[in-house]
Amino acid sequence: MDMLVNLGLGFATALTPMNLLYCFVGVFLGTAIGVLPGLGPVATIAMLLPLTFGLPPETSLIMLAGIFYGAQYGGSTTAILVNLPGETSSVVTTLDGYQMARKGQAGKALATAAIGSFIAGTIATLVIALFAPTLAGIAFQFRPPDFFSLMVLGLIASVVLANGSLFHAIGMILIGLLLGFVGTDINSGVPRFTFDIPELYDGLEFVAIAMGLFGIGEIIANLEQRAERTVSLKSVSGTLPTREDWKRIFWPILRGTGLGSVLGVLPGGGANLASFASYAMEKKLSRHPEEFGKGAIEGVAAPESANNAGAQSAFIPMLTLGIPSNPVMALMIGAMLIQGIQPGPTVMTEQPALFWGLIASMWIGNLFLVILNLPLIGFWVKLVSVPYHLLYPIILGFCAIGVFSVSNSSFDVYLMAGFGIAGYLLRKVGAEPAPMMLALILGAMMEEYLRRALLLSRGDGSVLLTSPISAGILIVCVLLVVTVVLPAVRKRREETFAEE
Amino acid sequence: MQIAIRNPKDLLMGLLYFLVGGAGLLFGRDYAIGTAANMGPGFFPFYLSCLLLIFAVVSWARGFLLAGEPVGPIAWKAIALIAGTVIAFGFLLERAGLAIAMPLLLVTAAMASDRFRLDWRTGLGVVAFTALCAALFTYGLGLPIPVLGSWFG
Repeated sequence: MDMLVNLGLGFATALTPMNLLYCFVGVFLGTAIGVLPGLGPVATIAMLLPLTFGLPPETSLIMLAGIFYGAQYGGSTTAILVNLPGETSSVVTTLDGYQMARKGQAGKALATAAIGSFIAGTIATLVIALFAPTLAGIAFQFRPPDFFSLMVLGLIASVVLANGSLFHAIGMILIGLLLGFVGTDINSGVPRFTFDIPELYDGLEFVAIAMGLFGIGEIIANLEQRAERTVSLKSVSGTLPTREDWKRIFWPILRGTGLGSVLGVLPGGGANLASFASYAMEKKLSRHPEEFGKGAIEGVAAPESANNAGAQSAFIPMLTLGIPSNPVMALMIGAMLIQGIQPGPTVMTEQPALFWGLIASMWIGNLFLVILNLPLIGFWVKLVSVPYHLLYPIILGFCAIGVFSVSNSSFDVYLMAGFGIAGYLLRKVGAEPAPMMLALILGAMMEEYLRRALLLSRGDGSVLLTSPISAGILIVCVLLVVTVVLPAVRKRREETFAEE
Repeated sequence: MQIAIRNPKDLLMGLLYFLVGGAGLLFGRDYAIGTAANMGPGFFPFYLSCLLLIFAVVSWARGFLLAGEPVGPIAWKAIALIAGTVIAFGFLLERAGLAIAMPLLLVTAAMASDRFRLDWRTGLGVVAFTALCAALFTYGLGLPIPVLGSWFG
């Protein structure tokens, strides 16, 4: 069994005391920062990224994976306790999670989320170990047109999943693509839109923009809401699900995991799609659908499992193709590049210890999450209930010092401030910054692949359709667009978002 | 037919598309466009900018034709304080050092909330957090973040 040998190698790498320690520290810090209201995984990871710079490659990626899972779980915690989703994928968790918390079952909801995430993480780890080699084999077949089409699919998926107007989501993508061209053009060496500012020659620092849009923008938006959020602290006792609860959440967790593992591979936020889809599915299948939205435990278990499985299988396109399917994966790629690793199909063959170590540490990260969180739930609740006016200056302080330390550049701090204002104002006029962020990441890459594709075909655009892989991906794109434009589906989509 | 602004949000988004697209054309005017088979550095920026201008027009049309909601009040004070203090932090960090830039950031940012009171407890918190940052980033991680900056020699 190749897979067992590979996983064995992975665990041998991940299980050294030092790597375990850093994984643990990562999970702890990730949760601690991710729990703070208004900080989703992107801002959390960006903020903690500098902590990993001085470490050896394996350790640094293992710690990052820990931060990632911690941040995810921290986001769910805020969603359940204060009804404040840190990112799109925990929107669904607020529906029933917050209701459970209001009924005094906050502890049980948090435990369910942790257990569901752990089971999902375990299965998704096995799925990755099983399929990653095959997919890396396919990845070797990918040629420039295929890469381009895959990124188109990612952008289309992010439009479909964006909250609000489809038209403006596409508009935001165009802006993001244009911003992505800032910097030196790879082909000609011509500096584009750099205005002779040396910091811009390497392009806009993506971490600064992410922290601005999602960190600072959120702080300004929160300051505006005068009403104090009420934390549901009635009682956090009785944390473990009962036998009866186990019966109710067993299948939802497994179904959520399945959906998440499959949809997570899709670029452009498959994990979000999975959490919405699994919630809708459980509501359909449940014997008591009327409880959904009023604190049904399945409504927490299913989307949390789907979300976590999806978050994990999103590593597949990143590790095998080197394509980031969401901003979190872009941060991961950034961290790998800092360590001198170019993500792509060769990572698995040339640095097997690193590749399989990362996969093993995903599972260890999930395990720590359960071990850490079941006893610490009370502590996280206390952290969430610190008044916001005491918290946000500290969040801002971490953002500022964190973004500076990415490349020791004051310019990035200014950039973060600018995009903070932009993030707040965009939300005000009803445009979502998430598609723009993805487009910005993919912009220069897409240009490069389309250029190469058309250079090889001598300017013949039909190469996108004659390559079987590319054609297949484009068909999926068309199907996705059709389903959104069809009136019936469109109405469903609006209903799903209206439920928020 | 009466012409009236029906969706101010669409109008503002239109303005954004117009400004970004216009800037793309203006500043990208010297980049060679090239052909599809041999794209120049200006190929993508040019066509994207044109597309953005089209989006601007459509968005404006939507603003007059489709009904929407008002934009609502903008928290100018929070924007000014938060963004301003972050910019000041960026400027001061290497020049004045962490010991000055961080307390300034914390206190100015806190002023954006109307529940802010400057008393000994806030002061203690500011000092403690600044010390933590210095311990973690400057000494712990060895990042080039000076506690006292170039102004102090």
